[in-house]
Amino acid sequence: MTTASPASGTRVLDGLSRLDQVLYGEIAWADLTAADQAELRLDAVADSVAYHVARNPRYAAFCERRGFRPGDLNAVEDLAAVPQLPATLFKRTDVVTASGEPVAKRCTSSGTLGGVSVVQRDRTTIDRLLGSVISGVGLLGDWVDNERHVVNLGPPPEDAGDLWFAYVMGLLELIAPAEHVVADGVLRLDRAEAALDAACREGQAFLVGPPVLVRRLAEHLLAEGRALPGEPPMVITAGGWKRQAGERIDRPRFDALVREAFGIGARPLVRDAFNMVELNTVLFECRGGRKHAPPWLHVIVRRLDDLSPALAGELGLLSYLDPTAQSYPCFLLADDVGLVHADRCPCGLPGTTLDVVRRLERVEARGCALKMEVYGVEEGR
Amino acid sequence: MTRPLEPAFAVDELSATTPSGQRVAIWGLRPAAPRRVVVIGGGMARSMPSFAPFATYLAANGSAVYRFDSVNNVGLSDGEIEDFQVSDLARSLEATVAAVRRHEGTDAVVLVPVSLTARPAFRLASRDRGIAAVLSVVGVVNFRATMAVVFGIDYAPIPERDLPEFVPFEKLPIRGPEFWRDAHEAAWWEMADTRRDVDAIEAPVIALSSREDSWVSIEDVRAVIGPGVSRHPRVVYELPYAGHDLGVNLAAARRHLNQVVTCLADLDGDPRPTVEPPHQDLIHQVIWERRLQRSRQAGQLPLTPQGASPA
Repeated sequence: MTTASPASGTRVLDGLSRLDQVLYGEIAWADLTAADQAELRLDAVADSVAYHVARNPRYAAFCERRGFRPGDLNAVEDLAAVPQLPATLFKRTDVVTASGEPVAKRCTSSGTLGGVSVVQRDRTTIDRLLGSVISGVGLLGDWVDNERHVVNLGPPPEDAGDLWFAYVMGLLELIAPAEHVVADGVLRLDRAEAALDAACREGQAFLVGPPVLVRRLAEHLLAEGRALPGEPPMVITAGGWKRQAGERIDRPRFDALVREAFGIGARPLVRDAFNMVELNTVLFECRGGRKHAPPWLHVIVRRLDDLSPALAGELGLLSYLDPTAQSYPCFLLADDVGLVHADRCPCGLPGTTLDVVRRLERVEARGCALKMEVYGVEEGR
Repeated sequence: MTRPLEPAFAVDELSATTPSGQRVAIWGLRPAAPRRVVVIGGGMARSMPSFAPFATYLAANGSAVYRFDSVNNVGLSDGEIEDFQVSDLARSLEATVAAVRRHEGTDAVVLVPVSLTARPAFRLASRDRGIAAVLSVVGVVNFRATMAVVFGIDYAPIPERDLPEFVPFEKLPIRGPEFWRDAHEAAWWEMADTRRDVDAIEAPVIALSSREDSWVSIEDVRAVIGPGVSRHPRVVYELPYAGHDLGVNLAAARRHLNQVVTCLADLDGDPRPTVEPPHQDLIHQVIWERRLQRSRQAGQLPLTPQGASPA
């Protein structure tokens, strides 16, 4: 090998955007006031809208039909006018922005409500999703690498395929040692119990999974009369009850069951995380039990009858403006009903907190103003 | 049915021994026809799988790339982190370079030290003419200033009798007096020592630094490696609005990695365009290596038949 001599000098690389500085933890959430966060959202969403309008002709045409121009965004209140895509659209057509990067991951939903959503993410988009997970895990506590041990009530990444929920859960192995205890679609209770036992002995255990499987493991431990050693695990649920709605129990009963089975007591170690395949940010609950929208994610609750913005504390259709997605416009009308809290979270962290209360019922979906012509596809049929 | 997870590059497992007889675990990723040999030095309290993306980027662009776990640190090498001293890192790096040279049959090795390993890497390169270049990534140049941030106290001027028995590095306790004594005796503390080491390096020194790095001041990097301070080739790349922890800041890591790959190609006049490994390759490499590390810690057999042998 011969070594050439580079010309001496100082060179400046392209710097990180403010969005990436916050997303990847260079600027801490806690250091941003509510006003700072609103300013970040306005700037990041405005940049993102302009980006997708320039590179996604179908989204640009949609904006034009709605009489919206990216230059219209001058204040946080203006964000409600950004044209949003019903999440169901991803079940019917490709929603793709030409980012210049190849598709890194094709992501599919579980098809709970009929039909499968397909979302194509490029490297930048999926890195930012991971960034939101790393950032959100900070809400759970402060651990170093070797302290954390994950027991995933899901399949290993190599078996997750394109299924988004399983894929994201499997990726926890990127940040901590993990045992995956679902094989061939079946939860192995004996393996789950052994893995959790070992994880509790080794350090801070994280038990993650859909609530139905957490419930089954909890009931198994109670039925067997088993107690876990060492410190109790942090239990993180995600994905909702989906097709197992028949096994659903309300949150207070669920929490009580989990606290008893895993020896958690009154400690704030039962948390829920929220995501949907179309959304590029994962929302975590804080110690106060509220889901925090990270500073970059703009949440708008819309009234079911006319999709006008609801007031804080008012129940309505949840919608999102997520500027982290580069390979598709992540401006979404979700299938969930919820609310944004009017007051500051008791945990002290500034910013938006929300409750996801329930899925949108079919009759509501038909009745509300989701019938909008987008992408040349008639929605709501 | 569970399908085996395939790494992008199989891990070639080597080992070396320090002068005090401690075993250093070394992992290599080797593309089919490597165009250069690189040794990555990881940061403090980070084991080899943490640098899987670094290694995968470099291997995908034609480097035979090796990493090691320092003795008396986290990972697969001998010793416990409570006994860690910077000279352990230096001895581990030196033993690794020697083992890699024997394995690859070449003297020419490029060092890519990350964070703390930059400090002993500069010293090694100042004495070893076989080191073809040093590309430090968020490399520490002012050890005393970095440790003052890490520990929250500048221990350098404190008398040994007043030191605590243990000082915490990211919650991991390290024996304070021994760490302190080694840093004085081996001249690691002061930036002037780093500058003397770097001045003695004839090979190119390239620093990739983050401007908002709270552990490594960009002014210190400029003062030690800046183009005006040496007659030898010196380049500083500055990434605005980024910090030190590239394991968290994926955007900063990606920019630095692409720049490392470009710099390596430029150093050996390689005209081929650089490539970014597919996202799936990076994910699978990290996960596979984490599992390999766990199996080695548990004293288990290789994960797959090809797991412990070169590709």
